[in-house]
Amino acid sequence: MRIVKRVLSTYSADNFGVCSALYELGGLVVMHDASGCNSTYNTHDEPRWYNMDSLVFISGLTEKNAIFGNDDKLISDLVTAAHEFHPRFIAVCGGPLPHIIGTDFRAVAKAVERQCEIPTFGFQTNGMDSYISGAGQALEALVSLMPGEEIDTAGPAKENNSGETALGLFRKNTGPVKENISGETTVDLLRKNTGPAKVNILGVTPLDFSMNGSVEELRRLLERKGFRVGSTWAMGDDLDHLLKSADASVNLVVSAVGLRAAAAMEKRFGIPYVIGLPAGKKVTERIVDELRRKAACDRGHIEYAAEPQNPEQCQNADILIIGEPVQSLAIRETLSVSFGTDHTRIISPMHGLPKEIISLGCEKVELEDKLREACASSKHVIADPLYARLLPNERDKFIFLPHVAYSGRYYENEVPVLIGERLDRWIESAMAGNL
Amino acid sequence: MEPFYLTAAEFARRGRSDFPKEESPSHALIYSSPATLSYNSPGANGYGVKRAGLAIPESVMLLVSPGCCGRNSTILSRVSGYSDRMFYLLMDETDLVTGRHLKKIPQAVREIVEVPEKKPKVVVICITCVDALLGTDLVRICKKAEQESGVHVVPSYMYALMREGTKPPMTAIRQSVYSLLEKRPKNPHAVNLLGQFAPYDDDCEIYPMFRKVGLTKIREVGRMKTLDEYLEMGEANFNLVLNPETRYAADDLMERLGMPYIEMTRFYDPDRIAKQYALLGGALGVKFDDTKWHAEAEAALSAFREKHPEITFAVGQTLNANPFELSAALLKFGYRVERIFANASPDDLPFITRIANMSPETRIYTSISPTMMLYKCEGSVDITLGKDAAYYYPDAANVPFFSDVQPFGYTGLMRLLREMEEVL
Repeated sequence: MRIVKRVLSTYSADNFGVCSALYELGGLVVMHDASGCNSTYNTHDEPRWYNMDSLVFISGLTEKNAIFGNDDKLISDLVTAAHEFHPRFIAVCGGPLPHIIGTDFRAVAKAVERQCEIPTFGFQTNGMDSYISGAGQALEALVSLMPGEEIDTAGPAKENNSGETALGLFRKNTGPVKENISGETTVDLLRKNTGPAKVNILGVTPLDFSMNGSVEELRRLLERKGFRVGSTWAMGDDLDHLLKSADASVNLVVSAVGLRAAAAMEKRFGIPYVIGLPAGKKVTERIVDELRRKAACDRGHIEYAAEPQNPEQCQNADILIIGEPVQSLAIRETLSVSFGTDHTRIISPMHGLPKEIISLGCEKVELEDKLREACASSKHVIADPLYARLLPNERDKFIFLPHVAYSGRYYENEVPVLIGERLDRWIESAMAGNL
Repeated sequence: MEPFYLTAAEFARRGRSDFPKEESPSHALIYSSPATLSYNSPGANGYGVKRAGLAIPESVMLLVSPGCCGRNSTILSRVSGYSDRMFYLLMDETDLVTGRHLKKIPQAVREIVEVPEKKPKVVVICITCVDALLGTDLVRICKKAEQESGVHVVPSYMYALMREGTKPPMTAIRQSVYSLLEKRPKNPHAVNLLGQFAPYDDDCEIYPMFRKVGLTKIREVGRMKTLDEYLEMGEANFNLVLNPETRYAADDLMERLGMPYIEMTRFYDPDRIAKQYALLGGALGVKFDDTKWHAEAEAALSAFREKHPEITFAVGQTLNANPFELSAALLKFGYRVERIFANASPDDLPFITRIANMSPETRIYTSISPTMMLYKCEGSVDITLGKDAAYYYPDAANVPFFSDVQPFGYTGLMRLLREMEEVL
């Protein structure tokens, strides 16, 4: 088997995922690595870079500081920047260099938090896992900022002089969850309200949804279906809004990025969640039904809005989908229930996929030759345009679905909106006469 | 809080002994200004390590790195026409810990040589920061790969963490690019122009002036179409270094091939250009006749000044120019330079001192400072030079003046004037 990659790209890395997920939330986000490692994120993976300011910086790790493991320099730089910019929170993550020297980002975060009294997160990223892992960790960390009961994330936080932790102070300022005489929390009371059920959308970043209006369409669709959209994690929303969204009846996980935050909110607040992208008319109906059911009564259960892939579907697949797993599941379901195409195989070649997603049968194939074989044995391939390089003489079999997390901003303007019935129309148009 | 800057007068007063620490990338967190984003390669702007390594004719590159280091190249190499010349050997966590990936390199080179329709004559291996920390001996690995594959295998290093060291990445890659040159009998008529990866403008006065004094074989790596042509650079009588980042490579060629070098600076002030040619002629024992080009440049400058007597500039650093030298020249021409967005080094102090003498209040902003987040467009600027300066003054006319093909000398100045005329 060949070991050299010749034509394919890699998915956006975990440290870039951290930055993407936290970009709009007013935090100080620092990639710890050599100067220049940030430019791939800024130029390729972050469509907001030129139009929206964000405190995303690189530490500029030097040879000397790497060899001597001088974390004090990083801590000092973080503290200085925090004093200059007064961010809402601080996040620090790393690329391959800190990984190789074993930088303990959680310890760095604690040291910074102690000095700044600003909630600080350290993410053990390595620049080799995919954005799904990094962005997932970042959104999960935000859950710990939400007012409510303490959860155990990175160990006990340090107290300040007044005996309160930075996290405690932060939550206090955000607005604590109070109990009434009956012992019910505000969250419980809010959920009891008879108005439209409130749903949070978890897992939206430009890496999966581009900046093409998909997120706005998602909100509109849910509102048309009778829901109130509480918050959108984490595009087109602000930190305060996110942190006050614990009163939601149900969470909707629209990409693998949102899964960890959903699980954390379920654990802390008992908010049930549904995994699925409302894309395709019938898939949307199914997801809406699940959301209603969960909002009405269910707690503590996970529902998948898609059927697991079985090995039979993979063999002699008519259609191969390569891409983000939750979106791919919606496409597969729509192809099945609306177009009668059952033999659809999904490959999600990203590192760091959550187990729940893998269990649905999204295969992880990374070697170029294996992917070429998979494409060659399928009649049609729905994938980012870069994958068509695998079979230059069979480009006609490829149906392009650009994915920013894969091809960066190169095909950014060609990413379709697939929410609701738009997916059906896209399939009809893209695969006209082939189904 | 204001973004960090010093006026030219303050900068000059502090001098080398009190050079602002804010100019050092290791001083604080780094803001990804539009200028820092140009580090990509083969990529967004100009030549970075990867694209530069491919300046060797008939070469391909194998990038051995974690995924995030190569991501941009895969995407952009297609756009830049490098898609058939870039290959990737991705490292995983086990590789980082054990160095296992190094054993795969000879096999990877064999695969590369076997597969393409057009067999490469050179495989450039590019390793990254993680191998710097692992202490990888790439020269030894390249020798082994060369023996197994039968093609030249050249080591190169994209060590971003050594950006502030004695041999930063763009210096190291220049040494790699010329490393295949071998000693040949000297040709007194041959000279190599070292420094850039693309050629200088075809109409640059260097070519006719040099030919007139007998230097008829003027070679640049950017004009070499085949490996054989490139190897002919080994017969040069001397090298002309036109970019200070090439000094290390020139030293290496002097040591290995006994090839001396002379260094020239890119100026936009015609008087300095003339003086430099006179000095070069003196060093070579010839007299360059630059009268024609000098007169043309002066005439073009006079015409431009007559038509546009008052212009206020903001100058960035993504330019085919040293932003401080260019600013000093613009001030000498009688124009205003309101802002300079660039990272200065102590070597820039002579230019900054000249700026200070003519325009002490010119503000020099450190483009990598996180405080640049707070920069607010203020004052009146007519033209921004460099794409990065345009980011700060989006409403002003912009001249990117940033191309692969390089301007130099009098014709460089005339090109700049033409490009400015186009946007005014």
